[in-house]
Amino acid sequence: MTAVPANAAAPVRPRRRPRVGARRLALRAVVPLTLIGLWCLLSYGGIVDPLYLPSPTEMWNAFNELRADLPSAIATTVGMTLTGFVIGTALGVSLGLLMAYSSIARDLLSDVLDLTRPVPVFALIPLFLLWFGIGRGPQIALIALGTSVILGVTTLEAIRNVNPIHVRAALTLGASRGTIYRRVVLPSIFPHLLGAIRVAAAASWGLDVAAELIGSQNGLGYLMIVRQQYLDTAGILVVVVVYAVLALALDRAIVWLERPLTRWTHRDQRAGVAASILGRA
Amino acid sequence: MSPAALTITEATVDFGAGPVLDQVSLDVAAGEFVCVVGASGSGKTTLLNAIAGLVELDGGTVAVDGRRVTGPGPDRAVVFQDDAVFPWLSVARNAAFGLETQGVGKAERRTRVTDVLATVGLTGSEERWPRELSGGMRKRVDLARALAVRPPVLLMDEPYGALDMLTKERLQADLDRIVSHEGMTVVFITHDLEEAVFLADRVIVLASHPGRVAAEIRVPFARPRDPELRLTPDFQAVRGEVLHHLQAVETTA
Ligand SMILES: Nc1ncnc2c1ncn2[C@@H]1O[C@H](COP(=O)(O)OP(=O)(O)OP(=O)(O)O)[C@@H](O)[C@H]1O
Ligand SMILES: [Mg+2]
Repeated sequence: MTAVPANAAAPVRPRRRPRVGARRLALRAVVPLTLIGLWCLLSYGGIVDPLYLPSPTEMWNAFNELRADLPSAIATTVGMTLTGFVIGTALGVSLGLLMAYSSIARDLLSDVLDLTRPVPVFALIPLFLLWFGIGRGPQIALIALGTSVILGVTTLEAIRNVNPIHVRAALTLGASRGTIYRRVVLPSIFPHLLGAIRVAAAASWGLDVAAELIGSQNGLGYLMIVRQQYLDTAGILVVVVVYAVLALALDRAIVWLERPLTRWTHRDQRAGVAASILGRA
Repeated sequence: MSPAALTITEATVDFGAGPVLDQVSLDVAAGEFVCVVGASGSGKTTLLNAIAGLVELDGGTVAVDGRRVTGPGPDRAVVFQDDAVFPWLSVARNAAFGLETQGVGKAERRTRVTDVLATVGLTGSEERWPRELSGGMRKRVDLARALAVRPPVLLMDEPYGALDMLTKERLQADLDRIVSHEGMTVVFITHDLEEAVFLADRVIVLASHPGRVAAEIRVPFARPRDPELRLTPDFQAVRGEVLHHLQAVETTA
């Protein structure tokens, strides 16, 4: 496929060689280094008030101040977010499968889902507080609700896109309805679900922040409110960085966990083919 | 399993815009290999799906050994026109799928999968993913999956339509050998007349709008057949006869 015709007398556009490692690395460093440079210039140069943009030194100091509080805050937040995310994912996928499988479930739930899907989950936070009070339970429930909607909708959509020929083939091989759901539908939709699971994971951190900002006594979000009351911008930024690191770690973990389950898909290859045609622009 | 006789009696299918199949009747003897040819849109796939139980009849019946067909089942395995290999299963797991749904035990399953993959020439590819296979190999997986359940009736819908000539001829010779050896009843759809005459005991010409049986041509060569048979005048004479009928149908349509 990548062979270049030997009789290259005709004006064939030369295939661009992949950039050498060092040069690519340098190119990729340009934007981050510029941003960091700009940050140092603005903060150390006294161009922007530290209330709005603290310097790296101030952030390091703030980090040292928060150090004692961070472990328990992280534990609380991670525990809550992961619990809500896992419950919501399981619930969403199960509901999607149930609605595809059973017409009774579909008739019962589809209108409710269609009507509630566009409602922003964040708008429900005050109601949750009112109904369930402050505490871990309602916060986990909120995260679970948000993730389950994302996954329920994606699951239903993915099931609609299952290749009918696979279902027919299974039918002619004597598979029952249950077997088809387990052995054809589920593996078919799995690669599509993974994208949604990653989106839901990212969203669950956002839901956690919102839930904590409004009603909690512990956790990273709560820590942020406290720092805000002290007008400690550097402290807030430190917590933001912690959230970012946690979200990134969860995302990487999901990708790592799914890899053995999606080895059969084309994904890597397809990216490779597209890149070989379009160039590594 | 021993081959079964197939009886199609006045089968009518209408998707709403006039009949696609109009009272099609066809008897296929146990162990017979029947090829169905016809123009695109003449209802070949619809006929096959009706036999498979994937399309509901608006009239008439399909019966296997006298038992009426009411839905799909492993007594009529299908190799589809399009690629139907499960991409999430390895070659061996694909071949084992029908056996698993039938509750065949693990040890028995393993020997049958090994046998069927050897039969279709896929030994050594057991653990490969379908995406790593060529089109011809994927068709072999489709065939292996269907053969593994030892169906009394095998239904094939233009399985080799998308393959190059050499691959196609090799797969035809393999199929001829396998089916003759196992003694299955086969309904095979194609628009390639040479393929039809090479494989079939009998070629059915389907007329379009609506689909109905226009002609039947017996192919008087014993199976399994030598690929060289294609070059003989006798073979070409039968092919000419089929072509003649097909042209007659097309000009009157
Ligand atoms: N599910 C369906 N709904 C409506 N019309 C259909 C359906 N399936 C087939 N048809 C129509 O029935 C006719 C016969 O289709 P069929 O697929 O059986 O043709 P075919 O002989 O297999 O053609 P080809 O050689 O192109 O595969 C066509 O006119 C097609 O449009
Ligand atoms: Mg067809």
